[in-house]
Order: sequence, then C-alpha cells, then structure tokens
Amino acid sequence: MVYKSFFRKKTTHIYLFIIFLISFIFFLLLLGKNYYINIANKDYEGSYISIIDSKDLDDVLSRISGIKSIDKGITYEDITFISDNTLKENEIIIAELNKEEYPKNSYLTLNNYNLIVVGHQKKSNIFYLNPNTLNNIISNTKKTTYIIDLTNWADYNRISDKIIEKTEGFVGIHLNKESKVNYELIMLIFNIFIILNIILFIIILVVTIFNILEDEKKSSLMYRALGFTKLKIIKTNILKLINLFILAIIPSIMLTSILYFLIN
Amino acid sequence: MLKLENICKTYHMKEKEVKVLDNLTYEFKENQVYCIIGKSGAGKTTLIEIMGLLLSFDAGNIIIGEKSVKDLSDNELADLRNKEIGFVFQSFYLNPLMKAYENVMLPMYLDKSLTKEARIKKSYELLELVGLRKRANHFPKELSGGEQQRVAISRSLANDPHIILADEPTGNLDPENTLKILDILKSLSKKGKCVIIVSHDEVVKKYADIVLRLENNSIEEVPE
Repeated sequence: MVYKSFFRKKTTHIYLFIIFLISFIFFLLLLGKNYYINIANKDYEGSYISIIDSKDLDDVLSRISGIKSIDKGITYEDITFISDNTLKENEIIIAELNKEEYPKNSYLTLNNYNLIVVGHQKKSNIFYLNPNTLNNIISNTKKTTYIIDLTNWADYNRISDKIIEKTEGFVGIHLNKESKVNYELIMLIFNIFIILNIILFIIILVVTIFNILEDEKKSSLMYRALGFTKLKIIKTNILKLINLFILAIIPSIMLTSILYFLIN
Repeated sequence: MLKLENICKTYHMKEKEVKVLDNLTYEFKENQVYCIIGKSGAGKTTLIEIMGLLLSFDAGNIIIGEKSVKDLSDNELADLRNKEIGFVFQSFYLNPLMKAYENVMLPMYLDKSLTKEARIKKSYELLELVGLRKRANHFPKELSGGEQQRVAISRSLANDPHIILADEPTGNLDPENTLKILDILKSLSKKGKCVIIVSHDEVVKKYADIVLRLENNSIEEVPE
C-alpha cells in the first residue's frame, strides 16, 4: 500500500519514464556495438595474431582481455603447424590461400612425408597436422608459435599493442579483411556515446534519489507518529527506489532483447 | 493513563539554551478531554511531541498505562506509539496518494497479525464512525477540510489506542466543522479514551473537561 501510493505520484511516473529511456538507449548502444563487433569479426575472419617465443606465454596471455582463443604450434619455413588430434597421421588441413594449388584430396609432400589434404581453413600460413606427424616432421625447434584469435577484431590494435608490450617474442598481425570499413572509428563513437549515457544516467540517478528522499521527508513525521521507526522509514524509501529502478530497467532490457532477436 | 514525571526539556542552540519544560509533572486520565493552552513559544508543541514519544526529553519519565518509557529502545517506543497513541494534526497529514480507507489502514500496516481483508473491514468501520463510509474510496483532495480531519481521526483510532493527541485539530477548519470534530473527540473520551488537545481556540476550551495552562515551563489546571 505504501509502495502503491508512491507509484501513483506523477513525479514517480516521470522518473520511471526518464530512467526507462536512458537505460533503453544504453542497451540499444550495447546492442549496436555488439552488432558491429559481429560484422567486424566476420569481415576479419581468418585474421590472427602470431607470437613466436621460446618462453611459456600461457600466463601472460591469460591476463590480456579480448583474446578469444590461443592455439599453439611450431613455425617451419614460414608455415605454422598446429597439432589436431582429429587428423590421421597422413592427413593435413591447409590454408585456403593454397586451395587452388592443393585442393581437397590432393597430395602434399613435407619433409618426405606424403600427406593428403582433407580440408582448408581461412587463416593464412597455418596448417593442421596429426600430433605424431608434427613431432616427426618438425622436432628441432624450441620456439612455440602462439596463434591468437580475438573476441573483437575491431579492437585488434589495442589488443596487439598490449601483446607487444607484455611479450618479448616476435609478434605478427595477419589481417584478412575484405571491406574498407573503419571499425575502430565506429567502436570509438559507440564508446563515447555509451560513456555519455552512463554519465547522464548517474546524474539522473542522483537527482531522482535526492528529489524522492526530499519528498518523502515531508511525510516522515506522519509515519513516525503512526509508529514507523526511522529505520523502517529508511528501508521503505530504499525499497521504493529499488522498485522504481527495477520497473524502469526491466522493460528496457525486454525491449532490447526483442530487438536483438528481430535483428538476429 | 499517561503520567508525566518531572519532565525536563532544554533546547541547545549555538550560544543559547532555551529551557522549555522544567520538572513538569501531571497525570492524564481516561474518559477525559484535556485542553492545553499557552502563549506562543510556551512549549505546547514540544510537550505534545514528548507525550507522543516523538521527541526525547532530558530528564524525568513518562508512564503510559503501566509502561515506563525511560529505558525503551527506538523500536519499542515506535511500537508503543503505534498501539497506544493516536495522533491528529492541524494539517491532517493524510497521504494525498492514498484513498481515505488506505490512510486509515496505514497504522494497521505494522500489525502483521491482521490480514489485508481484516484491515480493510476495520478501516471501513472506523470511517463509518465519523460518517464517511461512503467517501472511503476518495482521495484527500476530493474531501473537504472537515472530512479530511475526520479521516485523520479515524486513522488515529486504527489500533484502538488509549490516548488521542490532537495538535490544533480545528486550526484549519471553519466553525461548523470545528464543532463536528470536537463532538467526535468528546465522544471518544466518553468511550474511555484520554483525549489531549492543544489549542488556542476558545471553543475547544468549552469542550474540555480540564483546561491546562502551560506557562513558565510548567503546567497547571485552569479553574473553571
């Protein structure tokens, strides 16, 4: 009943609408940013960052955000070979770049090993071999090649800079981009708007809380006279605010989710 | 019913101290209407807030029924206020966003033993008592001043308290509504309640069984 009367207030309706609007815009921006990340990742499909290092980089790389996956291989004559347990000892998966020269079911000789091409993948200069075959063909190197895929290729500059900063090995950035879209700029614009939205939300949050508490102060004598303790009054006010924000934010999440499913 | 024992209250301002009540002792009994009068600044509002357990006092004690309030915690004081004291204010202090019956229900909200249906039923009965059952679903802005004060009186009776404290209950009312309100308060005293009214209004004095003057930090009965 106490909450019912709070939600009957016109000012409460106004706060509800404003908070809904700002949170909806926020989620829309996140949705938009995510949409472009997906487009960028598709556009950059087959791109990767490589690091050749004799040191174990697992720990260092695990602390860098934005890394989607790390494969480890060995580089031999400009080709990085990664082991793949699903392949038989005489099978090989090669780069799509070499598809014309070595189509599926053709043969490739490597260090006197005859290998049958069973598939192609988008990353250039990367081949997949059975682990035993890999060991037999290449056994003299102590350097590991790390092949890194990113969660967000629009951000590859920042992540690669981080990798270069944190490692001492040789870092190569292999881009396989088809379009000329400047994803970094798009991400920057989204990030600026997201930050502005967050700042606006914080301002609105502070103003709303302040106004509501000032309003509620006027009735606190009445509530105390009726037997409400100060603590109960404070708890009630906090719950009113929590309910207000939940009721404003949940519809914005739901609406954004509907949009997400419609877009995808 | 309500006993004040050597109540002292001093307000401490920046460089001054203002003593409002000094060893005030008095016993208020049931079945009586008391009217407290006094000059502006004498401490009437302070006294009523202390009696209503809304304001702390520096020394002395208050006994309500058999209960001494001196060593009660905030929660216990609030509970006592909820169960034993009904308030009626000059400005009514109704929640403008609650209907009349919801306003009356408000003190019952703290009694978890009552179901919602029981609370609603009781609030309608209390509105019936003041002749406002048909206006139960109206918001305060849809009621006249007199009607709002009657709703406030119903609310003060929500938990069947023994004591009614009224601070200038007729201050914002016309003469006709003043008499209606005083009639209701008088009838409550006949039902066993102790009704204590703070007022400047001469009409209120005439309704009171006992008139008390608050003067020189103390209280005394005014002879008839």
